Amino acid sequence: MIHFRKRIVWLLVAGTVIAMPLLLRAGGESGKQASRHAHEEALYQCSMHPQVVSSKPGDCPICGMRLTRGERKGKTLAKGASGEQGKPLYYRHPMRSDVTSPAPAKDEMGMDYIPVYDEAQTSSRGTPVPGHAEIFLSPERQQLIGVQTATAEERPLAMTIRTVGRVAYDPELYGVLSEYREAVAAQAKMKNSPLPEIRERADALVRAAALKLKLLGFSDSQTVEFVKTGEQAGNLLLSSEIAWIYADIYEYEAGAVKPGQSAQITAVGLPGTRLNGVVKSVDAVFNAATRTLRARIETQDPEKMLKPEMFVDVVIEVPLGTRLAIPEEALFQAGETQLVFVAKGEGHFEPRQIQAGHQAGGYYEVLSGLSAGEKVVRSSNFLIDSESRFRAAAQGFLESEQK
Amino acid sequence: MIRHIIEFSAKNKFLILFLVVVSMIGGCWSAKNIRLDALPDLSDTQVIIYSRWDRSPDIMEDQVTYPIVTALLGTPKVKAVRGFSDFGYSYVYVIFQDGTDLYWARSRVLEYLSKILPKLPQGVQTELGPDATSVGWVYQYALVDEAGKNSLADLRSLQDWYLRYHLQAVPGVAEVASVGGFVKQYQVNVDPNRLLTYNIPLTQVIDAVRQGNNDVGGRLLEISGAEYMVRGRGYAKSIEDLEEISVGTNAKTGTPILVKQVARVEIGPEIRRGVVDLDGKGDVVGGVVIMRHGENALNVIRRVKAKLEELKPTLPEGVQVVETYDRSELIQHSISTLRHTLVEEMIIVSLVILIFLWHIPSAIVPIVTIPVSVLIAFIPMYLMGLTSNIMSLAGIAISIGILVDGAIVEVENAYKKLQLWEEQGRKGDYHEVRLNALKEVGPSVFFSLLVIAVAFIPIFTLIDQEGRLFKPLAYSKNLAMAIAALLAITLDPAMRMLFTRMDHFQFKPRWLCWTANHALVGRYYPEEKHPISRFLFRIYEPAARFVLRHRAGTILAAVLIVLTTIPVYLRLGSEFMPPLNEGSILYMPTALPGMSVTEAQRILQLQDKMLKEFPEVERVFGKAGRAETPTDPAPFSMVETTVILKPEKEWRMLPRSGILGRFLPKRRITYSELIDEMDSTLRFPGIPNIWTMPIKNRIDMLSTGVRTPVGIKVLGPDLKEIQRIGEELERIVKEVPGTRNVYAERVAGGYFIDFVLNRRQLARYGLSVDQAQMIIMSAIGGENQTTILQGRERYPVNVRYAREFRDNLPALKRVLVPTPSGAQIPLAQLADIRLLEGPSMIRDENAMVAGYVYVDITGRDIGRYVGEAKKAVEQHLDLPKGYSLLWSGQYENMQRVKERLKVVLPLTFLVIFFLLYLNTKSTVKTGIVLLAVPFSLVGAVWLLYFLGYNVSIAVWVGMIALMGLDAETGVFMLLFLDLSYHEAVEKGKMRTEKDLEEAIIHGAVKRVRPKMMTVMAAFMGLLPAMWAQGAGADMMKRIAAPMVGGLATSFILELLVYPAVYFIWKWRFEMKEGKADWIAKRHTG
Repeated sequence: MIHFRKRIVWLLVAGTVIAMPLLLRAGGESGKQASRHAHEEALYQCSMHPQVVSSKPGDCPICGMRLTRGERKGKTLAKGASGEQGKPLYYRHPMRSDVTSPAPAKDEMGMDYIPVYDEAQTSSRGTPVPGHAEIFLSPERQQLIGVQTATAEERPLAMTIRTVGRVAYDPELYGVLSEYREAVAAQAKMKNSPLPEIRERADALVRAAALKLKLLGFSDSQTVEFVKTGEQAGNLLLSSEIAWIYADIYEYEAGAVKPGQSAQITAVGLPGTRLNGVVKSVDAVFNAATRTLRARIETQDPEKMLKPEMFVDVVIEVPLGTRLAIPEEALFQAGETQLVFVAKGEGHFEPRQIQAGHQAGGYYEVLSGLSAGEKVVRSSNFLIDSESRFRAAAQGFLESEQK
Repeated sequence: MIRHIIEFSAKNKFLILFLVVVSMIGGCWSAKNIRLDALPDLSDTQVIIYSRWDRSPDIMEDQVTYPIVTALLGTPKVKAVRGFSDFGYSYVYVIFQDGTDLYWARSRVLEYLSKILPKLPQGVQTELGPDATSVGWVYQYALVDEAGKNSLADLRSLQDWYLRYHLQAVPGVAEVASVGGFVKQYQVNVDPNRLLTYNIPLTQVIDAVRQGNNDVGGRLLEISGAEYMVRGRGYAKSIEDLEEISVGTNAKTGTPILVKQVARVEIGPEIRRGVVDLDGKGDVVGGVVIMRHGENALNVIRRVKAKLEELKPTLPEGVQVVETYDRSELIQHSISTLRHTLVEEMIIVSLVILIFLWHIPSAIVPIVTIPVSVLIAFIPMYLMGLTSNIMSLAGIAISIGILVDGAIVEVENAYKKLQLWEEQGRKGDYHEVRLNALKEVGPSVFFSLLVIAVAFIPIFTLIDQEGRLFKPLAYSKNLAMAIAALLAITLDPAMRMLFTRMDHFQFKPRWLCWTANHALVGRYYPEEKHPISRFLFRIYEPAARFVLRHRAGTILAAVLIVLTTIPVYLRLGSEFMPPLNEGSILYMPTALPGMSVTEAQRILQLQDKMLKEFPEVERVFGKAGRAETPTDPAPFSMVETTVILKPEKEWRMLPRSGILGRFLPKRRITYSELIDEMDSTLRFPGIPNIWTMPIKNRIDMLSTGVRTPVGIKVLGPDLKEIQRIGEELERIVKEVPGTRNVYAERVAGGYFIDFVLNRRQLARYGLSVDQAQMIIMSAIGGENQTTILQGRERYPVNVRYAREFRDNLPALKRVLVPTPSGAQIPLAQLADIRLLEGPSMIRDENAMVAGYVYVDITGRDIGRYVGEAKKAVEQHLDLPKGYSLLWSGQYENMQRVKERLKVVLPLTFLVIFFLLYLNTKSTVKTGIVLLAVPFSLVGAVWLLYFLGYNVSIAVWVGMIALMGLDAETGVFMLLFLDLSYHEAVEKGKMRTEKDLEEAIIHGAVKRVRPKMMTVMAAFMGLLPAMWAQGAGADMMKRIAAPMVGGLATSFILELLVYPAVYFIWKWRFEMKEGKADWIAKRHTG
């Protein structure tokens, strides 16, 4: 009897000992299950080699770095695709991420709680840019890297040409101009002369002077206008209230400079002074020695600061007209591809290949790929590009897995 | 032989004691002077050749890396030469065979390098990397000036020209690298418009600057008997000096044109390839102390700290040196964790022995043996040049309980014999009895220790990183075991002979007499009256009887239990190295290549600021890009932020979860919870988080080869073609069964602006390619033309276009190239400007451009897989001429290990079997003993599963150690069964089943105490390792866990199953056939 009782006790003890780990294990099991479940939801990717994607945690075969975890966004799309996109999962305290609320709320300082979105609700729609995918960033994460956007707008664009010039000191031109003026005056006097030779001669003098002017870069209309206004060309020799600037334009930019364009003149000798001028004419002949074309710019200089032969810096503005443009920094040049990230609202960013034209005054002209009113990212482009590539590689993996 | 030694030791006990004391002093000295580090040095013998030249990766590859690699091919004892070309840097890694002396290797490399150095382009700075690896980054600091009196450039100068040299002179320091801040540079920012107006080509300015800064000597002059040294002083010393340099004169007027008329001279930053940030407060200057290969890390750090302390008063006002990483804390922490564990283990084992023996004079012998053998083990460790680190101390920690086995067995036997001697009326000299008892078990003690040592042989066959990691453990464990074995036959007999008294003292006062009697003489109990035995009998006897009655059931149950481990084992994960909690965090978010310095710095600061906001964080030290050392190849897109945590007791308290949570006291946040929290807070898009630890990361980044099981290297001259072949291989290999993942490397990530020179246009202006490129180089890039000397400091002078003339595409188009005719022509007219994407890094292997195809396989024999894949590639791939494929990868290693293990494992098993056979003289018995192995696997696997440990080599090491133990306990268990059986046979009491049962019960139950004692000593001795906390504990736990679990189950199962098996064996195969008598006769005869 005693034996029997002992045996029961013994069996009980043994039973407990055996069952103990199982019981304890059962407790741990749920945790393990949960993490296993999480594994199924996760993708592992190398942060240096986005093409390395795996469904299991591990190290990158190339660099040996631990693969980073990311959500398997494609799968959960099915759940979120029922038009509920953009509905926040919960709201969190603006200062502390661990205080959350299921409904919108205000914190003690009256600030709104920040909505936290389910990042899995990304549409995995393919985009035409190879190696990039559309991404979703919650407002929190946008704030982290400071995403700013700008709108693509039609705006007047002006390209600038920076070059050097001199304040004109040109006795030769002065001479020719005087000569021409004389000739014209003489012509006018001789107009009524009965002698055809004299008339002829006067005309020839005018023609010769005009040709000289032409060779020096004066256009016909300019020549005519010069006479009409009766302007004195004294500024070619000495300072005057109207200064002439000779700016040198290189061949590759020569085509863009036209009379009538505005210009800004600065000089090393005159710090802080900026004078406005107008391109009056462009020479007809290239200067063989310097391989440049001369543009004449007229500027008002009431204080006679500009002295002949003074060196000045010239910026000529070449208006391009009104064009669709985006800020310079919004364009991401990934080698030959020109990319912008279009903010489509609610945290979605689409990489798009565009064709950019001139860079002008802090803007890029958009030739194609964007329409007016679309918003593009103008800061943190590198990180968004990086994220987009990671996403694309992950999607590629998912597709091949589904096959 | 062994008996003689025992006898000699017993007789010359004072000589032995003297020798032991001398060795202990030696051990103390060795333990103090042995090199300390957290982990063994895992790096290959490798020499880095490091070149700097601000050129793009492809130019670096063509003009620097390739020539260097070719020159080094054929260097003796070289395993591989690998080159990496990055922007501005070329790294050539020369990896030598295992065991090559580093300094020998370095001089070979220098020898071979000398023939190529003169042929490298001008301006390339090539140097041999330090005699250290990145694992040697033991100490880091930052220089800050909160008072704002010193600029970043000042701080960097202080670091570069003052602190660095002082610290580099500290013994054991290989290099001190600077990182972050601004390197001061004199910049001549040329205004091309001015050049144009004065009609001066840029080259003229460059020449002028270069020629405008020098000091010369004019030898000696003798004047009136004294000698005078002649000097020409022309060093430019300041901005003004540079500005006054004449560039030329106006041809017409003769007016000089000075540098200041065409350029702005300023002090500015040199090109930045690394930025650092402290606590998110912005740029600081950092320093990295790199320890020489094979030094004592702790001492080096101590010396560096002392030096810094010495230098502090000499620093400019406001400048502070902030410690940002200090490995000594980890080393001290982990060593003290292990030391603590060792002490705990010793105490526990001593207590176990004391309780089980219940006899102080006997217990004192094994108790003394433990510290003595541990201490003496340091002598050979020191002489062999091993370091004292987590692994080697863990080796000792797992063997504490086993060390004393020999002593226990001897002491127990002597105790038993003396008790018998006393019981039988004290016949004969008790000294003789005691000595005989010692001699009786001496040889088997030796055997058992031999088995344990033999079982560890497979560990010595590990190579490369695994080998370097675990060999110290195997060495220290085996050394301690060997010393213990030696002590068992020398010190133990000598000590046992010291306590010679058998009679109790009789003196007053009585309490003193009582104490003295207990401590020096003790009482000898027969087994049945022994207090511990009585307790054990009560539990074990009914159990033993139960199993003997249900023999088949017991065996079946045992088999079932063993079988349960199979599915459990399959669910275990695997890992290379168990985590070593370093107590600090390395946060390593990494973006794709191509990030700019400004963006990197912005993100770095943001991240650091957020990290610093965690209350557990003491300090955040962020680094993006590289420190100026060959041991750091990190690009800008790789951030390495060291997060130093506050002591754990200052961490946040969290409420416990669950229903009872509210009633339980709050607990501290754990390390992994903290990281999870950080991870969810710092979710920067495009730059995914990686959380690791400083040393772990350095070790991970060390190896440069293929890390997948199989890799195909495509070697050839052209990168594009290599990529094409790689992609084709990817397609082909994907179809081979067993392929889990194939990935061919692709070149990308580098953004380029190419000026493609138009030769016709050049010809038109009479320009050469060189002239045009000269301008691209100097106007856009800006070369350092000369150096300004200021005291000890040296700063480069750089001439280039001012920033606004080169920082955007329209400006670049207008970079002017002077022509022979005097005209200056913009680049736009000479070249096409293209934006391209290309390789950001080029790999070179044995002088061929290399592209890797990584193959991960699953569920197949690797050798056969490679064969099949090779065939498939041969059939389908049309390899162009000049290209070759090289199959490599971890599989080479795995195969080599496999080949070795194929020989070593059976051999080990055979040797163990043979040793056991020698001991038991019966195959059946040996078989029974080996039953302990599956029994122990039950506990080992279940415990691993329960603790959530992955299978790693550390676990295997534990398993192997366990097998040695199994053999030992099995022998012991069987020994007593046998003894009891033979005793019964001799007495003629072995006739019926009942007789057999009684004999077995007698053997099993009556001698449960000594069995329990050895196992408990080993088991309890491991427990402190299991509950140890802190740095280094994790590694030890992984090794100890299978041993703890295994010992428990194997012991319980042995106790329960052996009697049943023994019964069946004896009854079926011997007694039924009447062999028992015959055996008995043989024994008596």
